[in-house]
Amino acid sequence: MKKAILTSTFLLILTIINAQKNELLSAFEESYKIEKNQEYSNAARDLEAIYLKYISNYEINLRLGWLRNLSGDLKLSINYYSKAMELKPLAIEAIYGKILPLIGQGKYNKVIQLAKKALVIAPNDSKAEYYMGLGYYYEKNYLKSEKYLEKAINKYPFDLDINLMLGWTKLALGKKNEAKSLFLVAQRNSPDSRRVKTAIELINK
Amino acid sequence: MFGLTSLMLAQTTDYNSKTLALFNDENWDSVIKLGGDAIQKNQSSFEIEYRLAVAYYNKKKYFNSAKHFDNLNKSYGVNNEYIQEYLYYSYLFSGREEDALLISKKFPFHLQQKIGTKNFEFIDYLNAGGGVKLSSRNDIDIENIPYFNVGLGQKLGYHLNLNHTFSSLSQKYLNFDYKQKEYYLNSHIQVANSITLIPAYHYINITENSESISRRRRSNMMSTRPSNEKINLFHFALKKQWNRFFIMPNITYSSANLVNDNIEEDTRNNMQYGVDVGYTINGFNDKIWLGFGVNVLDDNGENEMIWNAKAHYQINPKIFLAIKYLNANTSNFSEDNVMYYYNSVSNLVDKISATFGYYFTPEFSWIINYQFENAEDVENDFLFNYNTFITGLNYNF
Repeated sequence: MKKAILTSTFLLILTIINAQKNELLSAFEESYKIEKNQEYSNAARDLEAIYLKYISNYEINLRLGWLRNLSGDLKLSINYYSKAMELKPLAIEAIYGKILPLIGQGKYNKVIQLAKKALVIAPNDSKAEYYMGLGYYYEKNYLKSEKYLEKAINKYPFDLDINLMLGWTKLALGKKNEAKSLFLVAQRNSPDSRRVKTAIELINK
Repeated sequence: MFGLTSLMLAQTTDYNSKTLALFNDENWDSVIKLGGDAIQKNQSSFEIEYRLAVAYYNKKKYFNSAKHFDNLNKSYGVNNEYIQEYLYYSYLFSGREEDALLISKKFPFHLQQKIGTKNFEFIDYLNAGGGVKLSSRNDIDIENIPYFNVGLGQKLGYHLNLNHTFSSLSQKYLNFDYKQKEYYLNSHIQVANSITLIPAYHYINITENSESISRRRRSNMMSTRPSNEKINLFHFALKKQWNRFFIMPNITYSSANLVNDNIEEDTRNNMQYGVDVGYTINGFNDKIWLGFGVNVLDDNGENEMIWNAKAHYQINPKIFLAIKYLNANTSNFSEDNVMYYYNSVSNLVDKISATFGYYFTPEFSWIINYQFENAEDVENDFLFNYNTFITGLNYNF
C-alpha cells in the first residue's frame, strides 16, 4: 500500500514537471510562430502569461527582452534583459540584448558601460568593440569610436555594420578617402542596402 | 472577470494584427481609421501608433504624423533614427522649420549628413520688394507713396534666426512732405520644442522738407518748422505651438521723438499688447491655415482695439494665396511683430490685403500683394482710400 502511494506521488510529480516543460515549450513555439508574422507584442503575450511561474528561467527573460525590444516596449525589454543578466552574470548575450533597447532609447552612455562590461568578460570580443565604437560615435567622441571600430574591423573586415559605422566615424573626422573605401567594402557586402546606398551617395557628393 | 480580460485581449490582438496587415499592404487610410480607433479605445501600443504615424506621413498629413512620432518618443521612450527622421520631415513639411532644425541638433552625424541640415548660414535668404500705394485723393495733394525694401535672413545656430529689413518710402500729404527710412530687426529664438521667443526692434526715421508743417495727431507735436521724427519700437512675443494650433501673446513699446534743429522737443510713448492665434484646419489636406489677432493700443490712457483675421491657402506646393483683413480705426500701431508700423498722419480705418506667392524653384520665389485701405483724415474729417501694389523676390541659399 505504502509502495503504491509513493509510486503514485512520484508519477504525479513527473507529470507536473512534464506538463510545466510542455507549457514552457509550447509558449516558446507559439511565440516563434507569431514573431514570424512580425506581431511582436502578441508573440510576447503568451510567454508573459506564464512568466511569473518561470521568473527565474534565463531563457524566458532573454526571449521576452528580445520580443519587447521589437514591439517597442523598451522599458519592459530592459527589465527582462536585466533579469537575465542577474540570473547569468557571465552571459554576454544578455548584455548585448540589453544594449538594443538602450540604443532605441538613445542612451549611448549606458551602451558604453555595458560594452565595457562585456569586454571584461570577453576581452577583444569584436561585438563589444563594435558597441563601444557605436556608443562613442553617437556621443560624438569620434576619436574613441575610431579606436574601437578599428579593433573590430581587423577581426571582421567584411562586416557590413562595422564598415558603415567606421566609415561615418572617419567622415566625421574629415578622413573622406578612408571613409569612401569603407563604404565601398560595405557596398560589396550588401549592394542593395538602403543604408549603404545613402552612404555612397553622400560620399560622392 | 476572466472572460472580460480575454475579450479585451482578443480585441487588442485584433488591432495589432489588422493594422500590421494593412500597413504591409500600404493601405494608409485604413491604418489611420483602425489606429485611431485603437487609440480612442485606449488599446494602442507602440507598434499601432508607429503604423498610424507612418500612415499619416504617407498621406501627407504632417501635423498628425508629427503628433504621433512625437508621442512615440514621449510615451514609449523610443528615439531611434527612423522616428527622428520622420519627425524632422513632419515638422519641416508642416511649416515648423525651427522645431525641425532644433531636433536635428541631437541627430547622429550620418543622419545630419543625410538630411543636409544647415545650422549656420550667415546669409540664409535675401529678398527685395517694391511697389506703390495709390491714393484716391491725388487731387488734394494726398499723393501716391512709392515703397521699397530689401531684407536679409541669417541662421546663427540651432536656436537663433535673424531677419533684417531696410525700407524706404516718401509722400506728400496735403501740406506736408516727408521721407521715411526704416530698419527692422526680428529674431526667432527657439528655446525648446514648440516654444519660440520673438524679440524685435523697429527704427523709423522721418524727415520733413522745409516747406512742410508737422502734424502729429494726439500729441503736442505741432510745429511750423521742418522737423524730424525718430520712432523706436521694442517688441516681445512668445509663441507656443500645440500641434495645429498656436498662440502668441505679445507686447510692444513705442517711443516717438520729435526733433527740431537737433533738439528733442516732444516724446510720445505708447504701449500695445495683444494676442495672435492660428490654426491649420484638419481637412483640405492641411492646406488651409486660419489666424486671428487682437491688440489693444494704449495711447496716453486712451485704449483702442485693433483686430485682424487672416487665411493662408497653399494651393499646391508652388503656389499660395494669403488674405488678411485688418480693422484699426486708429494710427500709430504695429502689426506682424512690429514689422509694420502705421504712423501715418491719417487713421487707418480698415484694410484688406491679398498676397499671391509662386515658387519658381524651392529656393527662388516671387510674391505680389494687393491692398485696399480705407483711411480717414481726422483733422479735416474726410475719408479716402489707398490701392497698394507690392511685388517682391526672395532667394533662399
